[in-house]
Amino acid sequence: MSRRKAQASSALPALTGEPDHDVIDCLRMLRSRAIWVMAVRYAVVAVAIGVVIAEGTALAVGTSARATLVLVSGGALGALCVATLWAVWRAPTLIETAQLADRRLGWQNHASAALQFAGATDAVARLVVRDGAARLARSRPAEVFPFEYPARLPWLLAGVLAATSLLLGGYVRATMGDGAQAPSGSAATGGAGQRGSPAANAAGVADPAPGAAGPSAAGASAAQPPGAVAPAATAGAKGAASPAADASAHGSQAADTPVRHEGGTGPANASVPTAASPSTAADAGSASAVTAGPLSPAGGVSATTASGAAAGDGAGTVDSTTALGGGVRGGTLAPDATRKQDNRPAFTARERALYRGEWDRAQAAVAQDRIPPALRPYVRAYFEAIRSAGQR
Amino acid sequence: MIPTPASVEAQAAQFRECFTHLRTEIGRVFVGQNSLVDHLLICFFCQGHALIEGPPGLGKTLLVRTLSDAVSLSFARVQCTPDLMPADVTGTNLLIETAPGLREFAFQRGPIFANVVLADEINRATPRTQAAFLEAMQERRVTVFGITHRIDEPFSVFATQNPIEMEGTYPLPEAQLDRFFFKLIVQVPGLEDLAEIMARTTGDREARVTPRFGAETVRAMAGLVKQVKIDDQATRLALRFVRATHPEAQESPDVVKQYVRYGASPRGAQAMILAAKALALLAGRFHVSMDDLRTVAPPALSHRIIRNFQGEMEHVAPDSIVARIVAETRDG
Repeated sequence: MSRRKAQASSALPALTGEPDHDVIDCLRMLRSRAIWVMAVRYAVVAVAIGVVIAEGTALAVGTSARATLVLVSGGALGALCVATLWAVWRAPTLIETAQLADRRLGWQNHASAALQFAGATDAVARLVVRDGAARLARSRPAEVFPFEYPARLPWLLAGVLAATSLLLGGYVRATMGDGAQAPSGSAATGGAGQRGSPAANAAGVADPAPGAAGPSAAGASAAQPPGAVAPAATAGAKGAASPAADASAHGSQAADTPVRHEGGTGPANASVPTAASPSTAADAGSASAVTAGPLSPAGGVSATTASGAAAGDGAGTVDSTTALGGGVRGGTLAPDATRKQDNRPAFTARERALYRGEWDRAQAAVAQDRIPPALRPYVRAYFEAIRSAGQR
Repeated sequence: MIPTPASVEAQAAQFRECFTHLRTEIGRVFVGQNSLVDHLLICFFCQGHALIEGPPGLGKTLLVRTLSDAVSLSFARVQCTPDLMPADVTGTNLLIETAPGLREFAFQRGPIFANVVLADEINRATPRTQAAFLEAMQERRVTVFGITHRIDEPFSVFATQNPIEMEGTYPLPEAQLDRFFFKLIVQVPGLEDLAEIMARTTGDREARVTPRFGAETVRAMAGLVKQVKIDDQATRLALRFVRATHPEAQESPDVVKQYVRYGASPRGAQAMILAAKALALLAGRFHVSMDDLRTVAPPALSHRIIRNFQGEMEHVAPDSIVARIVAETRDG
């Protein structure tokens, strides 16, 4: 049996008859084992942290399922590489390995003394090295450096589990909630939408700038789903025409303005609570739209938030047909059944075919993530807007 | 002749045999106190000197005499009193008649030239006489009238002192305490040991010690002890122990900073390492382990620690300080 086979089967390298080499070989083997154990320990921690960070990023950014998978895999792989490099970087030296072995197995300095006096020629040193080599040869690397789970492993696993659940929950909710409309994969959007999206009204309304022409307008617009041609949304964007818009223009919290969401949003107060930053408003708006939209009953839910008290001037209820947008991240662009009738003429067959074709192309574009999530409501709104009366 | 591993192993086996023989022989006469006996023998094989402290009647003198009897070495006992003169210890020049009508001074060796010297109640001797003892202990030679006389090896001085009666005594100065390899405390025996002592000493049978090894063997054993290896990690631990006895050292524990005035000298580290080497040989090793050092730290360091006023007032035992140092010093 070769020497390597022997060491693989039982313990460290078999004695070669040269104690100096035996000691060093055995300690090298132990050192390799130490590096491996350290790498695994670090990897467990690092991968858990990497996955949580990747999932957190996916939640925050609202990436597609595929992108999330890539992100999480990349995070885990990167963490694995970092852990391995860190383990190699922090690998014990041979003398440290010997000291660790002595300490862990109660060897009374046999290994470290043998290593130190390896190469010495006097009789006592030879005896020291011989004894050390014999002891090292009898040992098993797993005894010296057993694998131990990190003490905080349960917490790490809980973190990974929580982040994964949150992420998957968002997907599942989006998928189940919207057969035809946007199954927003974004758990972030789901979460945000549920809790109260830092939504269009949050971003847009909280912005005190009259007219909300800047980010708040963008936020509001971004939140406007197909049905958002409705007065409130428009007014919100323009900052003047409705009480809600007044409220926003005067810097009152959106929550202060009773908003009636037609076309099915979730609770109105879910879409109002805080002023999000303008940059996030669009996403959040779409999030709110996606999540809440499908859950609302046809015909819309009148969700009224606390009104007036804080805003002062927001006493009136505003009819805001915020049929919230769909088509976020791979979702289908489902027609909104709750739209009001209008007087536009019906399409001709050619127009209908053209419309259908463009609709399908848009749907495919959304499905392939070619359209940024923040702009998807616009796509849907556009198609809804150009529908003929007969299609509604 | 260059020693081979086999010859060293044979010597180590002889060392263990010799040690066991002495322990057994002493055990025939001296009851119990195994740790004390082991430390005394280690000190003897390291060719150090020991200060044995204990109340009267506990067999301190008997212990040392039995040791010398068991190894066929010359033994001398000096009962220290305030009127003991240095010449009584070292010897002096006497005018003797070498031939009819011809007289000349000849050096008459004192008891210090024995292989094993028992200085009984050394703290009753005057500082001048103590100094004569301690110079001989350190230098292993005596200078009388300008002529230096070497003391034959093996040479060990075992001094005793009584911690109770302090009146009329001259406590050993710290510098002289430092020259003792170990300070050993004789404990009051327990009930079982006392019963055994009564049985042995009040009956008609007298225990006899069989001498077996001579001075040559002891010298060889002392040389073997010095050959034992110590690695850097263990050396650093010994030095850290010594450093930790100094209150001004950063690594010293709080108890040292609070109760210690002066710490151990490098002699403390030397004593620890040599004694640890002897322990390693006894354990069948040819190198010192850190556990060896921990075992020998209390007898090697406790008498080298000088307590401050607070420590003396609160009766903080040096042994407890050393124990704390040993417990708190990392292997690293």
